[in-house]
Amino acid sequence: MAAVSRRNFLTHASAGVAAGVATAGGLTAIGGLTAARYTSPAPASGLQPLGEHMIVHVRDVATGEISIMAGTSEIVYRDSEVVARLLQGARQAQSAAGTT
Amino acid sequence: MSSHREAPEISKDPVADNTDTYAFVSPDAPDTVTLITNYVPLEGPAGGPNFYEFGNEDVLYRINVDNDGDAEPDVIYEFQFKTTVRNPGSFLYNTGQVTSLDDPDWNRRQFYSVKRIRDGRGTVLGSNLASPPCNIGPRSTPDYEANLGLPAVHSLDGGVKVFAGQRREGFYVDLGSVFDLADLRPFQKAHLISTEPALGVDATKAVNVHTIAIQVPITHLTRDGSRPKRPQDAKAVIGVWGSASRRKSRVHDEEGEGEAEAGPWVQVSRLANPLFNEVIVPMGRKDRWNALPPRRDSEFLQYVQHPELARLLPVLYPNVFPNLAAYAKERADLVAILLTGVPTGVVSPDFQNFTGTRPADMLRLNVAIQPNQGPPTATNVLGILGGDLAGFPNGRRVFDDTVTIELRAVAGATIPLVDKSFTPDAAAGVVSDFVYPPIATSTLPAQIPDILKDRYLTRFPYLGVPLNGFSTPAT
Repeated sequence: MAAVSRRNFLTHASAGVAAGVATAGGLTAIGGLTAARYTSPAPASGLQPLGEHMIVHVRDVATGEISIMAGTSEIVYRDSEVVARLLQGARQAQSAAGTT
Repeated sequence: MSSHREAPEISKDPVADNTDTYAFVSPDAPDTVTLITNYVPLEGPAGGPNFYEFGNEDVLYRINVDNDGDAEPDVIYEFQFKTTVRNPGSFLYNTGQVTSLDDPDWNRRQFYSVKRIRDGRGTVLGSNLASPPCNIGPRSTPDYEANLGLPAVHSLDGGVKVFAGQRREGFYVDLGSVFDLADLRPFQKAHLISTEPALGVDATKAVNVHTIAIQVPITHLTRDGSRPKRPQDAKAVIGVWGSASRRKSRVHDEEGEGEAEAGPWVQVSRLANPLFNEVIVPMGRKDRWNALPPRRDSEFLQYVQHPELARLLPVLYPNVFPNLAAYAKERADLVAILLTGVPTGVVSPDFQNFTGTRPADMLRLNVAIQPNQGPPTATNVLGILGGDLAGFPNGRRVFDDTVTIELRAVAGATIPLVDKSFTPDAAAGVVSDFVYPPIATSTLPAQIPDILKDRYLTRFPYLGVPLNGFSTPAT
């Protein structure tokens, strides 16, 4: 699998926000981060771009706490399922980069 | 230094590094207050080809004013900058002489907006305001002040003036002596590691800085919109601090084509009283101090009550500060100067800048104190310590000798204001960061000592014309 690109990450993440940043359904587009393994149930082509950067920060893996920053706003919520998927993707990225 | 590179993290982020903050009743417009915050420390005037500038949209600059003593900002002036490049195909800052703010030969320009936020409501006071270029040299930026500096003073509605751009550094200090185990010139003979005395060195005389200055009617700042006349009036005191914030997250792009930023603004630098974070706050907590608002300063109260420098002076200058060495009480004098303001009657029946018991690092300015008091109270760079109630720590003027004032205060000169049982050591009244002789007797016919005059202006924005890079050695 290709190394995770931060630019790609942003592209995919930005596409997802219009579906609702506070819902797991909207966040599933983040699965595009590791597209070879995770596929989004929502077609990315149907989503509207946010028009500004969105950055997602996993604040606490143990509690599933995620921070979504878009524009000058931030929302924090918990979704252990999404965090688990991101964690798997992160481990895969580490593996691809030879850091583990 | 006052707050130049004073904390580990901000020392790596010059455009957000708030180096000095000033607040004073304008000497040539006494119905107004001038508020100044400086950024980008120690600019070598020849530092091209990418000359100094403010953060480009990625830094939010603020001047904060508390007018009811709760250490929360009641009035905020917010500044944001945008950079434009005329010709990205050239490596040059300017492609010819720059003789006006819209000169086509000026390649990289900055414009800014000013917003006032009061009671949670924002009002744009000005937008697309031009900053002047850096002072490159007599060929690139001839007649700098007339062509570029003065035109960059913008008059806005409501009697507001604003300026944002390069100025000459106004803060003066013998840096080398301070950081070499406080071997204060010319007192080296008395130092633990004794050397022959020599005059002090003005370490910042050849550098520039980036200044954000705004002059506003006093009535824009006070809690009820009044223009207080009595210094004893609680409404006459405002608390002021500068700050800079960055977005909460930033992702660098591996193609070098810009960064992605998102999230709310997070404070990365602040400044009110000079030297507070630099000298009072310990290394391990300086970055945290920069991130916190003044209302959280009770966390740092212990460092004011028992300052490290007061313990060091008697060690570095054996037998010079015996009374200071024996003083074990909390430093209520420093708490008043730096964190609460001075109550009525402590210095004079006609002076106070007390904002309440909540400890918060703010410059506290009593706007009812007139800037030019006249004889017998002459303007004195030692401010209140020199009998001049219009100077630091009543706000701060651009020429105040804040290093000497704070050094003497820490050395014990101000303890008798709150503890009559204490007798200061003789040295506490003369110790100085000596950059020009003789400062202690500056009873001035003019506002400032001759030796410092070229560093300042007698009009807004009061900080002097920036040194040009051609004539000022980069060394």
